[in-house]
Amino acid sequence: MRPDRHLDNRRSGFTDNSGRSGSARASVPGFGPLLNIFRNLPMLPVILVAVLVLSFTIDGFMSVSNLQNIMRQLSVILIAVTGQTLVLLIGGIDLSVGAAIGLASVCGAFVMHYTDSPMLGLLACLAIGAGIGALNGFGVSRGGLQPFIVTFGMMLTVRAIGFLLTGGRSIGKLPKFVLKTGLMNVAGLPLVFVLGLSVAVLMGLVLSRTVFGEKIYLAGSNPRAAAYSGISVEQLKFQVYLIAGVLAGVAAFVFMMRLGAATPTAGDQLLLPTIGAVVLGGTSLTGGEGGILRSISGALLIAILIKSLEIMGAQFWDQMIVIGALTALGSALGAWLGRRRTKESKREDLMERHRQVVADGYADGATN
Amino acid sequence: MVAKKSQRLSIGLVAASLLTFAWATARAADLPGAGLTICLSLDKVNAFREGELKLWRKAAADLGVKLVEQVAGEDAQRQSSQVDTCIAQKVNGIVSIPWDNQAVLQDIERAHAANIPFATVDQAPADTSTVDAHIGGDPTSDGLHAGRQLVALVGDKPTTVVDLQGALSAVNGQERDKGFKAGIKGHANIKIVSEVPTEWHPEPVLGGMENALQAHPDLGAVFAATDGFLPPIWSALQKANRYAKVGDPNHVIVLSVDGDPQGCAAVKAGWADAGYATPIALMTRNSLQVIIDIVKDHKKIADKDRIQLIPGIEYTKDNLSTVADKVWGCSK
Repeated sequence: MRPDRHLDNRRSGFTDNSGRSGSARASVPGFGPLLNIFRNLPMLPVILVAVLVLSFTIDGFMSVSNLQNIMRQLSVILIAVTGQTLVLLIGGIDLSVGAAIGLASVCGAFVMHYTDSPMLGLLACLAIGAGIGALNGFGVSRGGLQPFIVTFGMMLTVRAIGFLLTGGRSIGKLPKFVLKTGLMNVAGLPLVFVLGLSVAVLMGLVLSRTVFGEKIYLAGSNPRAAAYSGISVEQLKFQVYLIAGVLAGVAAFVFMMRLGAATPTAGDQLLLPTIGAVVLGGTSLTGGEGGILRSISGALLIAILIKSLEIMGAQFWDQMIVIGALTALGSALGAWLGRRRTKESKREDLMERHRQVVADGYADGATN
Repeated sequence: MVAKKSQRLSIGLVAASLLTFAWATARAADLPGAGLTICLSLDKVNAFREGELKLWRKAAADLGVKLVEQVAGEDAQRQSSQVDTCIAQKVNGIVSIPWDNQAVLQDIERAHAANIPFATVDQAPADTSTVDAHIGGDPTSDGLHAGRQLVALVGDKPTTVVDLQGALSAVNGQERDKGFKAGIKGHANIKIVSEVPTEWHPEPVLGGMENALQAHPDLGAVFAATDGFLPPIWSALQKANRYAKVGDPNHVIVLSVDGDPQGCAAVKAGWADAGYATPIALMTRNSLQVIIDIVKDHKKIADKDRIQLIPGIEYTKDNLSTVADKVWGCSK
């Protein structure tokens, strides 16, 4: 077995759809690429079926305005799940993402309020996000603390700072540019969605096409092996948390574009849907397995279902039940697929060994 | 013979049903809001909102309006998304209690871009010039009257007070607090010893009350920004052996705003001294009426009617028999 094949099998979407993962292509000739896509994106068939069923059962589901609404709803969460995916891939978790979005939005809004400059506002959001990410990364990598504890403490502290700065009030009167662009469409797509998707795609490419991405997968799946390969796992963890923080800053700015206001509670309701989307998409909570495309699919499924339930008149508590049940199901599906992959991988190894033994036997017979 | 009778009976029943249906349809068509669908976007669910929702449903039935109800669960993003859904469903109007008074401005702009009138209730948007109508209570007046009531109750007696504030991010929270302080201003014998920001949640109330009672065992009065705080207030007073009815020397003066069922019961039973009932029956009905006026009658709402702030009704044990029908929590 090639040393990196195990890694290939664990990836998704952007990373490796070439069929290298083997057995599917070998066992069902012709369907390999399709099966591989479904294997890498377990939620894709569910999304396809859901869209098909909902477009026939819900009046106006496929209308342009409804699809635009779904996209707008996805805009902030796409960026937040991207950061969360990176952190989970490396075996961590970021509970402070929502609070970071809240504080970054508040600081960005303050800066824009006083300078009337969206650019300075964006920079303030990025700086606050980076600061929070750096502190998280430092605590996890240098401090050797549990990511859950570090980011939980950060969530409480950052949220409190947000309240201290604003007294709980939301901040409005943002520059007109921010408000206008928040309502703008580009080729029929809401600009905020285009931004969210662009960030997710960019980070997906970084994850799949760069050495940095390779390192994250390896360090997440087997930190000891990564360290033996010369990767500084601690440094990598710091970098990943830092990037997740910066992404929270971007999400904060997009949040302000979408709502036209900033509030310390901006991300309070984002944490669970973010983790839900990542888990539902099939990224493992234990690290090393998953990808951004998977998380996008998880977020998309949640957004589609929430919007459909909204149209049907279901209240948010009904929606929470559906998301909760789906997350549990998605997690179970992910675990089952993981076990299947491990089994297939072992079987392939045995077959390989068997072929090797047989080949060696022939070779021995020939020489004898 | 029996078959004929049964046949006649069936025909009679069908005819009666058709007539009833036709009468009901004609009556519904006569109602001012017949054929209109109004989206109701609430910020959260609690006992107060449940009371409002009940009255909204009654008003909608009386006016012939179909209501599409959405609850945001204290999330500005969710509320925004729900407003988008209502716009996509091409409702005739939107009535909202916004969770975030700044974020709602974008919702209003999107609704107006789709030619859908937008009215807010209870919590005003940050800029009221953007909204077609705002109908709310008068939180400043409610707080002011509570302050004046306290002045009247204590006279010159030195009195320590706990001020249980609502959410300071919400206009109602800010203004009730401001009004109460204005009401006691100039009375040096009344001293606020603790201000507890609660975000409308009852949990900080218990802690705040316990701390205040520990530091000031002779606490004289409590001002609660909402009746939802009454259960933790009772709990803290019981623990400190200060839970006593009006007239008892051990009694702590309690004044609270809302007029919900527990507020009404507390004043009736003598545990609380006075309540300030928000006129939600009027608020809910007026909010639907304003949308009907705009959509059906193409009426331009006069500026003086566009912002309606209706002061609450002060009720005490003494006047309850005369004002009970105006206090929504006292009605059966």
